Amino acid sequence: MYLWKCWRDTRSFFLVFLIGAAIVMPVAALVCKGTGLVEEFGANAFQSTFGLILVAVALGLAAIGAIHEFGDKTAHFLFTKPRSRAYFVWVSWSVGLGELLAIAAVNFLAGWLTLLRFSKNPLHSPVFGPVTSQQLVEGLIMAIYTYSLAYSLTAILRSGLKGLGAAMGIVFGLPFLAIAVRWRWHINLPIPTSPIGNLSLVASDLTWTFVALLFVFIAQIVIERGEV
Amino acid sequence: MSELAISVNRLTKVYGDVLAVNRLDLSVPRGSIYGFLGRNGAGKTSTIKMLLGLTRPTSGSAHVLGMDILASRMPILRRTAFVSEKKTLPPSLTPSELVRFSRGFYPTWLDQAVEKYARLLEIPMNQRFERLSNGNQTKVFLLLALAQGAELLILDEPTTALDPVSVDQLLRVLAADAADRGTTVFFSSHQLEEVEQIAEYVGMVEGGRLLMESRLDDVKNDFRVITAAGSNLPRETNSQVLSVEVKDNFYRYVITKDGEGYAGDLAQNGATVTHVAPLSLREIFLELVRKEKLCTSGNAGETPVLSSSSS
Amino acid sequence: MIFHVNPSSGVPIYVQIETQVKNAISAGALKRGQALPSVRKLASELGINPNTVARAYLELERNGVIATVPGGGTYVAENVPRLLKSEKLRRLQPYARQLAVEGVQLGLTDEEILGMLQEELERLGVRK
Repeated sequence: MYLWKCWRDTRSFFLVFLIGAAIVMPVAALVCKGTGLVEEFGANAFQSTFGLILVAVALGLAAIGAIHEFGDKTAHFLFTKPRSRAYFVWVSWSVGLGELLAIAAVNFLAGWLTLLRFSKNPLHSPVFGPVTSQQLVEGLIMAIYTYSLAYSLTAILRSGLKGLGAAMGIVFGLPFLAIAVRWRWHINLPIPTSPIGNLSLVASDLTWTFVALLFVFIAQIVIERGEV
Repeated sequence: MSELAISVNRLTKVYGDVLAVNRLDLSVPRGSIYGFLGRNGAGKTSTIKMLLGLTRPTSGSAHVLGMDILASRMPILRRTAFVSEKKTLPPSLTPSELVRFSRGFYPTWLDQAVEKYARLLEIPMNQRFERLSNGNQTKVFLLLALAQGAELLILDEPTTALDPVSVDQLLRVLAADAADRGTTVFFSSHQLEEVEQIAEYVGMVEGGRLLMESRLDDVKNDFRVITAAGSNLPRETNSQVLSVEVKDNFYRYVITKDGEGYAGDLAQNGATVTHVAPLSLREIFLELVRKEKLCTSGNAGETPVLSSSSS
Repeated sequence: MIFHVNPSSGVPIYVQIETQVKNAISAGALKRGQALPSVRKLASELGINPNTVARAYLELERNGVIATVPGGGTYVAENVPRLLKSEKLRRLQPYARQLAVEGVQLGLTDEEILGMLQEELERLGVRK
């Protein structure tokens, strides 16, 4: 029943984004009908929007989900139930994750089906080459990473606004920081969720996923030790 | 099976440089209704939070239902129902949904209690929580707590912001339910009249310190105010004399036990006793708080005035 | 029988209930053998803790004023008056003491004190 509660808390937000994710590609294709843009750039547009939409959804779900559970107002009600705080942290995180994956699936399906109407090779753009599965996976992992980061920060800072702001700052600021560091000290910082150093793509993907889980684990520790 | 539902031993909580709870001792007998009295900021909520594992004590120990609060948080939470000072719940859920939500956590849940109290307290079960009036919101909390089938109910200021009719309803329901099921009810309040209506035991705190803990009936039977006129009457306080007020040659004593005897002694020593009367809980509380504030150091070595010696 | 209690009074609730029962019996409003409300019912009517009512009934029973029948029911005892008298005397005691102490303090003689008491009784026209 806690699962159900988390679902209820995030339901409206989820549905709005689900619908949005489902229609963005078909609508764009409709708007660009006849221009030939879809055939040339469709696949890549799809790939970028796939990633962007997911990051936006990730941020939103994280803030809303976490603040419902760990905000000052409901913590007294939740944490006096006979379940460990770790349970609450992970269960509500997984509900949001499930919703994120559902939106990702819908978005992908909608995009793929839309592009299918225009070419037999939907994920292949004549201009930019194929959209690889790695690129899509990276987008997905980026979303999971962002979601977990925002979720943890919201839970730790106990504020949706602060958590969101901090997460956005980190997610969007890190690439710039990496550039600055590379320029100044010639060190290549790993950027989420691009491949790390010399690791294989799979290894990099797994590492970033692990980092995402680590964020949640840290949030768990902080909340377990915290006072209400 | 321990005979105390809650046992607190020199419990202390420091927040930064604020001493919220100061070596507090409490003994709450099983099956009783215990009123935990104190002003706002006296340390009631901090104490309760520690009992439920929401915050950790700085020092001291406590046992709830015979179990240590630090070692047995889960078993305690399974058998204890709690109504927080903050009457906030997930805003968009309805009372019915909240019942559905809470139910799964407790194997001792009582479905029939839900129906009974929803009807008795006239709670609109299908309205979103945020749309309920303050009174109804508090009643929802009470419903969830009563339906839990717990052995111990801990309520933090349950009657805040309730109108007198709702307060009366709440107190009646608590008293009746506790008697029916033998549950222990521990509730904090700064409304003395409410405590007087149903509590068997009272514990008074001020500045995080226990002022007094006793059976309510004993407090009322024992405490007396005596006014007398005379010269050179005793002016010292001791374990029997809580306070002395002198104006010209009029004396006002607040006595903690055997008031009639003390009055008799005064008369025999030449004083004219003008008035011997019992005190309401409010007056006793004010006296104790006044006296506590006169002590300059945190602990002047005074032990609480009465302890529950008779049972 | 209608009870009324004031929880905020300096007098414990159980004592108030006891007093009212005894007064009702003295006044003849409660007859010997008459039933009293059950603990649960009375507590519910007054909106107080049932244990408080239970204590009042316990004290009354201990003093022989009421009796509980196994199987339920609380009734005014059959042989009440005698014991009620002892209660009355007990209540008057402090006043007698005070009168004696005051009188002696003022330097009045025993006859003067008793004479004053006699006057007051005559004025009231106490019936035998």
